[in-house]
Amino acid sequence: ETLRVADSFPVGHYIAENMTKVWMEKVTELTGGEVEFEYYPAEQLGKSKDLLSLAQTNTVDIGYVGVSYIADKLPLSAVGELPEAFNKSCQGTEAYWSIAKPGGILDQAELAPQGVRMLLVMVLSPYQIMTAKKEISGVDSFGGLKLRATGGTKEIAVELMGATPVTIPAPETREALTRGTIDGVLFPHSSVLPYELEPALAYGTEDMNFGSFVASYVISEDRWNRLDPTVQQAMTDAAEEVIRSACKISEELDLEDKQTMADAGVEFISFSDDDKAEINERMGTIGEKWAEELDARGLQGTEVLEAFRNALAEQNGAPE
Amino acid sequence: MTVTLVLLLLFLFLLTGLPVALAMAISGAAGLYILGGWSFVQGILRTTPISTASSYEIITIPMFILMAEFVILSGVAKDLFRAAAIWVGRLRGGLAMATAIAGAGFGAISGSSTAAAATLASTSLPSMMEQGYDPKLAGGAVAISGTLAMLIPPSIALILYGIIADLPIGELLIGGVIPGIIVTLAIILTIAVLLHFNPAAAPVGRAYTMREKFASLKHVGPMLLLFLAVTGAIYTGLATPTEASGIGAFVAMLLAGYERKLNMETLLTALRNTAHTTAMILFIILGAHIFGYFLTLSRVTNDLASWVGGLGFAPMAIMALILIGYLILGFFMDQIAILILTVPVILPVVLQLGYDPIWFGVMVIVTAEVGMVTPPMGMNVFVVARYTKRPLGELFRGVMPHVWAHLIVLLLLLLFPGLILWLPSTM
Amino acid sequence: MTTTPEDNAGTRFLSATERLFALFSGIAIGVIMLTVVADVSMRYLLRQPLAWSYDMIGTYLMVAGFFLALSDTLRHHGHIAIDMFTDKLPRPMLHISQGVGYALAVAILTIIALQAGHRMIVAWRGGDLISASVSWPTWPSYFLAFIGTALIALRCLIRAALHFRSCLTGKDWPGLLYSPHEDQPEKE
Ligand code: NA
Ligand code: NA
Repeated sequence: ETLRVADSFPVGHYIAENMTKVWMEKVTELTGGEVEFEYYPAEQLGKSKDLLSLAQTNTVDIGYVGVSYIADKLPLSAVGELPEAFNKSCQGTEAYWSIAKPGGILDQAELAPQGVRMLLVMVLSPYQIMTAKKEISGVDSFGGLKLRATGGTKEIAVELMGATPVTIPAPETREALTRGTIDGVLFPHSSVLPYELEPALAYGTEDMNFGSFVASYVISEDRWNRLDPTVQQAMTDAAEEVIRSACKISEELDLEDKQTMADAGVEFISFSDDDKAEINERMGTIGEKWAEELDARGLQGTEVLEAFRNALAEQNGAPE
Repeated sequence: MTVTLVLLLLFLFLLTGLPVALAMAISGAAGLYILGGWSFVQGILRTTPISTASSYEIITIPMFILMAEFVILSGVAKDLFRAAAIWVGRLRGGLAMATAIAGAGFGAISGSSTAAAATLASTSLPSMMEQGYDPKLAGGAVAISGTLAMLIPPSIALILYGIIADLPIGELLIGGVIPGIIVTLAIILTIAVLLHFNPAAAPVGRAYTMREKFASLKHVGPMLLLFLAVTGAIYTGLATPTEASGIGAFVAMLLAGYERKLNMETLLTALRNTAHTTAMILFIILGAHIFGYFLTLSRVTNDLASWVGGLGFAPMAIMALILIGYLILGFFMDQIAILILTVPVILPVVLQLGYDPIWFGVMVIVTAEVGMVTPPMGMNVFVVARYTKRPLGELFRGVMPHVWAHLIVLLLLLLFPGLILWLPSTM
Repeated sequence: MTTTPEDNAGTRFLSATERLFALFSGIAIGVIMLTVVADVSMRYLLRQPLAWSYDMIGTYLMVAGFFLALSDTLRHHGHIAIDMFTDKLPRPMLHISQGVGYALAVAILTIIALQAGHRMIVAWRGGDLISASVSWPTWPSYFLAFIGTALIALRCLIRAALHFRSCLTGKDWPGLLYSPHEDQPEKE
């Protein structure tokens, strides 16, 4: 049988190339060619914020869910985008997958009630602050700067650094930077090159976590149940392998992008341990505030945050 | 088979006069039903309509429309033609040439060709008829000059292309400046050539003194200010295109107030007209999305892209084929609908061929300009016909020489992409 | 002042509603303009942009601007149609085709309205907010889509009925067909 997979990544995007397509090939291989895929990238079947709904109605079989696009339906799933204690893609991804995979607390609290199960996920290497002119030296370097940030918790992160968050459409970011409409961005390295920001940037932080982005693929529970058990097994097995290989590649690409930016003249600044501790403390308050607000809405904010923090602690404690 | 059936349904409804948006939504939904039953129809109709409107970037469309509404309200748009006529009026066919200049000037503050054609039709056309211009020459000049508005920034069509292709809107808009000037010159040159062979088609105008010439610029000043406020702000980066559109509308409103044309009634009329035009454009986008999702799910777009890729022709030849395809589509279809239906399919091919997406966007717009004035679906000619009550056939014939001139310009831009790409590269 | 010939006693209420909605749509567009100007001024003058402008415009104002003007635009024949053949085609064919077209449009618009209504109820019950930090409900956005689409579905229903009626009686209902050579009543 043929399954329709839809996402919003531009053609050739590294997540699609290193996770989605690899997984599809793996599943086809494991099922001996019984399951094939029709892949619809680049919003061919719907905008980012609509793909969950399209998966729920079985218009597509497997849909991309960028959780911050669907914050109204999946508020708890944003836990992986909080500036928590990880600074590498795989750390975040492993911890997140452990709570979001079918049976995990996030699955039970939010995904299963929405009638979907997560098949694949990647938590990106965390966002860094990069500036056009202002030299970054320490925790106080950001006061009064206008930084582009989108989404609630990232805007709070910018505010906690003493800067002002500005919302600007992504394709307009470079112009805004070169003309001083904004002083800098809160961006993942992987988005700097596609939007050609590197010529406009001079300084960037490294190894910090000012928030991240969760890219996942889901299938409706109903569609899943209609799949043959051997196919289900093949998908699960392929996912366990691909999720890990994809985040590794994502980390490597992050380093490459960073090098490209450095070659283009961007200077990366490592904070002192004191500054790091200070920033981590400030960032930690975002998660607690986030959980409190969700608790107040009758959602399991604190439970999910605790589970994610525990999973991260396990990650960080585990030997490589 | 399914695709053929659905296309037939689309053409039946289009040709019998159902609104384009509805024709596309109906045939697209029918196609979705054939392909995937209720779940396809339900899924797409559940998400697409709200997504179409629920976007921040899209405000440039209503804002630029509103800006043009306020400028028209202020009355200074009409002075533009008068000023142009005073400067070039002495020449044979001067008023027709002034129409092109006024079209360029109006294009600098309006993003919509049809609005530009309507304004020109109500100002320059009566003057030309009064002076005994050949209706064919006069109507043709008005219809083609109106199309400049979609090339010279701001341009609703280029913005739409940028949104679909996820490109920097600012660079796209600036990319239209030099081609806009070239097309303006081409229109003027075409008129001169036509009059060289048929001097009877237009009289010689009267000459004006230098004092009169400079006096005529008084009312053009505010327009220039507005152009600088918008395109200048985008070019220098003082504001992003979304910001510039909102500020442009606001400044135009102040201008209308300064000219003492703004009151509660005219304000609400301007807002309501903007609402109507915005609803019209977004409704077509919505219909085209539904139809586009059907085409995507039918895999026909995929097959097309790989077919073109497998042809093995030189990139330039494929590009020429693509542009000819756009010209042909432009005969029959609305330009907005064409953009939305084709860009997602064609752009990957264009990138694969190694062409610049900004260059391609401007090329598509110049091609679309031709579609605005060719039968059977030539919006600008319809607009001019509505104002002049002249037969459509006559107007279509009158605009034909300009179509040929446009094709030459298109060839020029194809051979020298720098004409489009240079100015954005200096931003 | 703005009754269209298509109106009769039965549809006058519908037309009045359409006019009112279009007014709201226009006001929403006016508010977008003011919001952008305020946002930019705040950013440049006070270095303190309006954090809410993006969501406010994207979630509510543009949705209102589009959906609330849909039906009134149709009433004014403001949605682009290819009308150059309408004078050349046999009248009965024209009326049947447009009648069927509008009837199908009723079906599609009804589905859209019901889907929006359904999403509104789900969002209302779930207390869905735009995001954890912007605590605005999402249901008004679906509500706007619901009423706007329901209204244009009604207008299409009347259009369909009048086309079938015109076909049967052999007499064009006044104002039903748009003629490009006549000025529209409301345009300058
Ligand atoms: Na323009
Ligand atoms: Na045409």
